[in-house]
Amino acid sequence: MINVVLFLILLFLCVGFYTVQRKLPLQTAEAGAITGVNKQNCASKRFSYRHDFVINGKPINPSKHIMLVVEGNCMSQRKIENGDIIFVRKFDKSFTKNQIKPDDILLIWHDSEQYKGYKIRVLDNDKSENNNELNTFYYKEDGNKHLSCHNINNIKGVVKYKLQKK
Amino acid sequence: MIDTIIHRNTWSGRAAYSFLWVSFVLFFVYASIVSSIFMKDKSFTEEYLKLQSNIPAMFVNFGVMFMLVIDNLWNRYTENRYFLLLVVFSMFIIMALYGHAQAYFDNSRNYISLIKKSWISYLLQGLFVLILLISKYKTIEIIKDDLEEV
Repeated sequence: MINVVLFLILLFLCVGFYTVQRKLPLQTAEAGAITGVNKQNCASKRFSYRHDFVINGKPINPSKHIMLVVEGNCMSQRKIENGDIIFVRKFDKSFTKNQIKPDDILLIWHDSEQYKGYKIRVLDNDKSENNNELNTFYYKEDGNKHLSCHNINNIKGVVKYKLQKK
Repeated sequence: MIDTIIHRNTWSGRAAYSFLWVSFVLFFVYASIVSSIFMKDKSFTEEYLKLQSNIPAMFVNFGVMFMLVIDNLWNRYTENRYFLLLVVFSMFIIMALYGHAQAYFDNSRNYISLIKKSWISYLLQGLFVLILLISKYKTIEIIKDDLEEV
């Protein structure tokens, strides 16, 4: 009888292991000043691998994209609001850093004493004097641009899509 | 290709897909066992009943479970997923090793019996297949989320 119980326990453990779906972890991307920004309960915004993300009826390849939750309102002019889920196209053989163009929204890895994590910034039209750096900006509350330079090695991808709100 | 024939987001499509999938998995796993019986050159009925009510029954279930996991991974990774075939081949090697171990125990009359009553075994395996079917039906649905360009 113990063997039967053991068998049943193993059986349910196995099925449970399969049915409980792993979740896609979501990191945040800072968009401008985040002090006073309503945290959008990022932990609850998780998706299982059963989700297909489609653009114009065609699914995108999730392995080529990074999913992030936006924190901050500096991209409101580009219709990216606080709490939006964005899809960033990672650089690879078919999509290189040479293909980025002005007005693209870039994902930048920032590692300093003040802030460590991802940021999103718009690529400026003006080229930097230093070839290894790119001029970027974000929109301040008054609509003006806040300029900053970022090393090209810290650019991780280009924001391509955002999840439609239901 | 099957995705184009059966719509996985309708209940009938999902049920049909799950049924086909479970049938295939069961056929595949049982075919492996039956072929191993023939390899031993013994009475088919006697060996089959023995296999049904002993460790291999559990092994079959784990085999099915293993295939479920592989299937899940296969759907998840769209690139470089052929490495998963290596895992499947490893499973066959493990099965072969297991077969050798089983033959050793058979010959030394130390057959380890986990479930002695065969009807309990049938009942449990029937239950397992049912749970398998339901879990596949539940997990097969693809939730589509629309994106917009920025």
